[in-house]
Amino acid sequence: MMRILPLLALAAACGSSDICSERPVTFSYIYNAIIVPNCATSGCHSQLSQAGAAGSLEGIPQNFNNFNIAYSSLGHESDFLTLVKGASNADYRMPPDQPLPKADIDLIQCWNDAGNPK
Amino acid sequence: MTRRAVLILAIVAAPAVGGAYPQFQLSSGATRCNQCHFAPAGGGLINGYGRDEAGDTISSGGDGRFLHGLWEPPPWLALGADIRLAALANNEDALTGVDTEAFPMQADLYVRLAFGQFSAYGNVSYRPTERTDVSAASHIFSSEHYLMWREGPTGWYARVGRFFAPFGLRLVEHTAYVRRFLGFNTLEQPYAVSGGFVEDGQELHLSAWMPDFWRDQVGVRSSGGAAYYERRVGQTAAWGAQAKLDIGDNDVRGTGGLVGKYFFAEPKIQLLAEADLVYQSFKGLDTSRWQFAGFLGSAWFPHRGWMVQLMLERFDEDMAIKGTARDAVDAELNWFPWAHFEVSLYGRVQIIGTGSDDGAPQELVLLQLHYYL
Repeated sequence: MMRILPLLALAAACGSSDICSERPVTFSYIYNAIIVPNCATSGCHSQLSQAGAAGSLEGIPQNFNNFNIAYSSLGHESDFLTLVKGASNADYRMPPDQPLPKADIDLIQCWNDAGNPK
Repeated sequence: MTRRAVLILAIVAAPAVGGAYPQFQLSSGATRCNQCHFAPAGGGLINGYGRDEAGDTISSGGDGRFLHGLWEPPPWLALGADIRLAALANNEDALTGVDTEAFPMQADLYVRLAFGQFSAYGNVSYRPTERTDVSAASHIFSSEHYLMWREGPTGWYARVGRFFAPFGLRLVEHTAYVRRFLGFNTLEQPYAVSGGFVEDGQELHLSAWMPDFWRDQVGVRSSGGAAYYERRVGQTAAWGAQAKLDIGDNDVRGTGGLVGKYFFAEPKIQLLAEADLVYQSFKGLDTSRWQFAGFLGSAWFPHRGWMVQLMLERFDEDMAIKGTARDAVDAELNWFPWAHFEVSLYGRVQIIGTGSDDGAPQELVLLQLHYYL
């Protein structure tokens, strides 16, 4: 058992690094591969509807903000990652009809941990 | 109403403008979608034959004509309307619990003017919403408006305006993955030019489009083109092949797929299937991905006026990355008690991600009361 534990720890570490290395950890990728297809819908954050357009998400560069992914009217949430994960005191998470797969949330976590690179 | 319920309504309450029931294409005895619809590939306002079918075949009875036959528009004019009320219970996951709400869902008006082989068609929709943080412009819109020339119910046609390129099964449910994730979600109609031919045994549609230049875009902006070919095999089967190229601001997507439809006369079950592969490359990024979207559905007609459906869906966002797929099982009971009336009870369970530690099922039950004029 003592021999297996380090291997498990190594495997876990590899798994963690894989999440952050198997796809680009940049906002350019996350925006086009995850945010726009999932969030720019007719009733939500499309250019037409501009839901929550009073502000923009913390960490999202303004030049990527043409779809008005915004949070200011939501009150208790403070960042994009919290929105898609679902805050402990929230009664929903984004997107409310089609929550993101955990693999996508993990990628956003990697991007957050890396300091929100463009 | 809770804020989460408001957010859900903003998505689910999106009207299914331009939707149709491909479940009726073979099961009702019609082989072509445009036997019942004015549009060459179906969807939108139904024609005189479609209205007759609504009363004589699909519903349990009644008069399917405009205004229930109280007034007959002149041959050059066709009018219609859709009103839909709904109630839902949505359980996103164990984290956020269940919401229940009732709400107005759809209010559409349609008009078609015909002058010989030419016609003009358009709709106006009002989208009621509880949201106060969306633009006023998003409440009233026209998702379809076009000019069309056609030889007749069969033969060559051409049209230009705002509409979806004929592609796929063209299901009424805009939440179906093959619509939701392939560029056919609510209000994502581009401005397009399309042409082709429709015959009893086959049809071909070629389309090219550009993003909405009049109002702000919904969904992923793209220009592109599509081809859809469908061939009927007798009166009970059809297969189709399709291809689509989307050139967006930040990506390029190539899509290829197959469509199949088969009607078992006994016990009156129609099968519908669609499978699509998408190759997406991202501009400025040295990366790409393959996606898959699939739909398999069955519609059983146990008695005139009733339809029972069971559907399976899958969308794999990135086939190379584990845990990025979503699967759904849908069931729907449709009751057409009288021409112009429909009651629908729809249920859906989604598994998002791997379905184990990260993919808590999401459940939705939706009751709709639908009236069309």
